[in-house]
Amino acid sequence: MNIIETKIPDINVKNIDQSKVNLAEKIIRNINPLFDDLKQIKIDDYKIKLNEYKRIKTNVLSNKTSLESLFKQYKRKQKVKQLLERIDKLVSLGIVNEGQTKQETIVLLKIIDKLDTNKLDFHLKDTMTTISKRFPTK
Amino acid sequence: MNIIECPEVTRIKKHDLIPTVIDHIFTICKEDKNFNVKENINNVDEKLVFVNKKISKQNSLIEQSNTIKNDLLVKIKKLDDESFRIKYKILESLGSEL
Repeated sequence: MNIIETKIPDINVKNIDQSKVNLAEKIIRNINPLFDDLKQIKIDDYKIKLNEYKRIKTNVLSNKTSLESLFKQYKRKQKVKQLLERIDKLVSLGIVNEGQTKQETIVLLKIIDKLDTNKLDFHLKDTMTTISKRFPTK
Repeated sequence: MNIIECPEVTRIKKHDLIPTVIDHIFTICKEDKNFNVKENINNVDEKLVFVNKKISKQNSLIEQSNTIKNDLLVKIKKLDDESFRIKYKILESLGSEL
């Protein structure tokens, strides 16, 4: 067993409370910068996450635009297919097999993929009218 | 003040107790209501949790949109194939070609 002499003042009943406060203050004074460092690390982490969020948000918006465009394309192609089915019905009924109507139908078929939505709607309505005339509802 | 050093005990304490003491100091300081840094760190922690939730939500949206996008692409391809087949059939019956 060794006995080490130090310069630490002896603690007695009178100064023990003050010694505790002094010790606590000293500890907190030394610990404070460590917490500041911890806070700075967390702030840096937060900034990184915030940038990541902004990047992902941009991707989401880009995906949204892309989906809207694809959905429009899908609706348009559905109309094209519907129009083709109606023309096929008219052809099978022998309505567009002669003269000018036949030529117009061939031209329509060749440009059908380039028609805008309004034109497609017009032809859909037109073909429906023709089919309805052939099969009037009672 | 004189410190009585017991070699057997001191050896153990030096290796094992220093991290424990530091942990205790950190724990006490973190829990101290007067320790204002704690509140600041908590605020940053709350912000971090919030932004992490938002990131997770946005990631989920991206995942969903990718699924929908792939589904739409498959459907568009199918529509294209069907339309081509019908168009080819009609033109053939009208005596024309693509």
